[in-house]
Amino acid sequence: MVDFVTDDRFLRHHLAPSTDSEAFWEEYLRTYPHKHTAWQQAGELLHAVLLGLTSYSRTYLSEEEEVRLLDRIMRTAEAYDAGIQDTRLREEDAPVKPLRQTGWYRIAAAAVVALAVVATGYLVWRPKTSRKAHYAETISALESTSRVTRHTNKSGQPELYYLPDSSSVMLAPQSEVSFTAAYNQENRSVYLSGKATLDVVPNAGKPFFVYANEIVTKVLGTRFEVVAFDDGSDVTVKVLNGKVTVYQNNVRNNGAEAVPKQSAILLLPNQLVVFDRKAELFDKRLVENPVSLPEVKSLPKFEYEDGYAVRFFEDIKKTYGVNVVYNPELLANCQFSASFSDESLPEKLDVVCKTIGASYEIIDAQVVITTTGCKP
Amino acid sequence: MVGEPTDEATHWKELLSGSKEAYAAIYGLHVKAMYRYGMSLVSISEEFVLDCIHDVFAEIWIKRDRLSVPDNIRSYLFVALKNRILHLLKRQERPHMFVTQEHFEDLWFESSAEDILTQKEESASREELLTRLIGQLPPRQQEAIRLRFVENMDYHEIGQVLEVNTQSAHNLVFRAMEKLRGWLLVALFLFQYCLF
Repeated sequence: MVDFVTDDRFLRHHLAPSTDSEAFWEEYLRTYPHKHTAWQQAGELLHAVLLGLTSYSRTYLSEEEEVRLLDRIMRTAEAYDAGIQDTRLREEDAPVKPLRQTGWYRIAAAAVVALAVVATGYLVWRPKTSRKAHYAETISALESTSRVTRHTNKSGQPELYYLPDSSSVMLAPQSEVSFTAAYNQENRSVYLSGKATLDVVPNAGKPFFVYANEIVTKVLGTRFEVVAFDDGSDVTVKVLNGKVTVYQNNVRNNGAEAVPKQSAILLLPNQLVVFDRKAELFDKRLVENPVSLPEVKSLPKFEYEDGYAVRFFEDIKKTYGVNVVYNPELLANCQFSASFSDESLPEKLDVVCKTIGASYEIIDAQVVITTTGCKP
Repeated sequence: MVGEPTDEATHWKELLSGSKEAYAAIYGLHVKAMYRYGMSLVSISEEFVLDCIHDVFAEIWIKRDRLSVPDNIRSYLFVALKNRILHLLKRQERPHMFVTQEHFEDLWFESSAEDILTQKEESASREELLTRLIGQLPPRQQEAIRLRFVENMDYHEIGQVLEVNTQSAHNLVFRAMEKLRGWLLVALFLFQYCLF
């Protein structure tokens, strides 16, 4: 039976059966009917082995990596042709590099102090809804059960205010921040009306929550901005750095102390979520003008000479922490030359996409590249 | 698996005469399998495997004046990759002794029925059990059956990659299959035993 499994014809028949192979084995089994059981068991054994080898056969090289590696090989070949032969020699002496992808977010997680910017209360014309302002409702509900500390900035200047755990709040004029006596005992929850910049002391045991209208933002060691309109318009949260989670506050009024569970949205840098108060839906987008991540140690130079478009998009991913969706096969031949300095992300994308005859859209906080490919 | 062999040989000839397109085409035909094979040899670092693939292709380009068309490009590339990996690993200054292949096979334990039972109990699925059983084969037998059943190489090609003759390559696969068959029978028996 093992003889079958090690036989070339047998293997070919099982991996890629053809009418010829069917005919061959039919004929064989007619001639040697006593081998039928062994033949069948051999088939089962073969499939068992193939199943056991799936983790091997499923080791895929990602398309991105394949293109990147080809790019690197081509550069080495070009460098060699240009007479620079030491590239490879240096390569040869390089020790085994550590595993890739030390994500920026891990660095961010190690940040000592997280900074948060929170803003509410722009005057935007909107038809008044029957809904009462959430802040006032929440505070009166809290006051019925607990001692509430309220602080309002009545001056015309931003004012720095310290919370009991030394986290600070830079309050904009006409803005108010409140917290209960439980603050820094059982929780670290603040309630906000207006606009503020928060400097949050990290404390893994007591996550920091910002309640603004219907949404709750959980601080995970980060810098972010919340815009919550009190007049019924959309609420937005924008991440500048690190990570935050945004929830819909489904426990309205009855003490927002309960940890919200529903519809959590994880926001990464340069992402923005808009909460549509009417539809009660979150919509994740990219910020209008993404900035490079402060944690990225070696920012790509954004200088390309006959560079591959794929490399540019990878540089974008790395620099802005923004996902770029593209088909590397279509882009494999797309090369361009450009040098950027202070151009914004949309400007860079415009230039490169125009050069390689592609277009881009921003869908669900991702840059999606559409192209029909380039001629080699 | 491997595309039209004549095409490939043509690509290779073009590559030797300096065609970058042919160079990229050869890369495209083989890089996925090379990566898979490389990762099975040194799974600790993807970066390292990618470096080695880079070096193999760079070397082909640099030495193209002196190269001929190999009779089998896939196994030629596998051999080159394996040599590159071993070469760099040896330079890692790890003061370990290289056990000769024969001794290495001897060191391998014969799995007992209890071992199989343990594997069976610890495996959540049939796939996991089979993966574990294959993992108990001597490394060269594992390598041989990967080349045989996934890379679809014939015994001559397997022999080239493993640096043994065709008959020995066949024997490696044969022994691996005999062992697996025995283990599967044990596992099947234990399975029924547990049922009743």
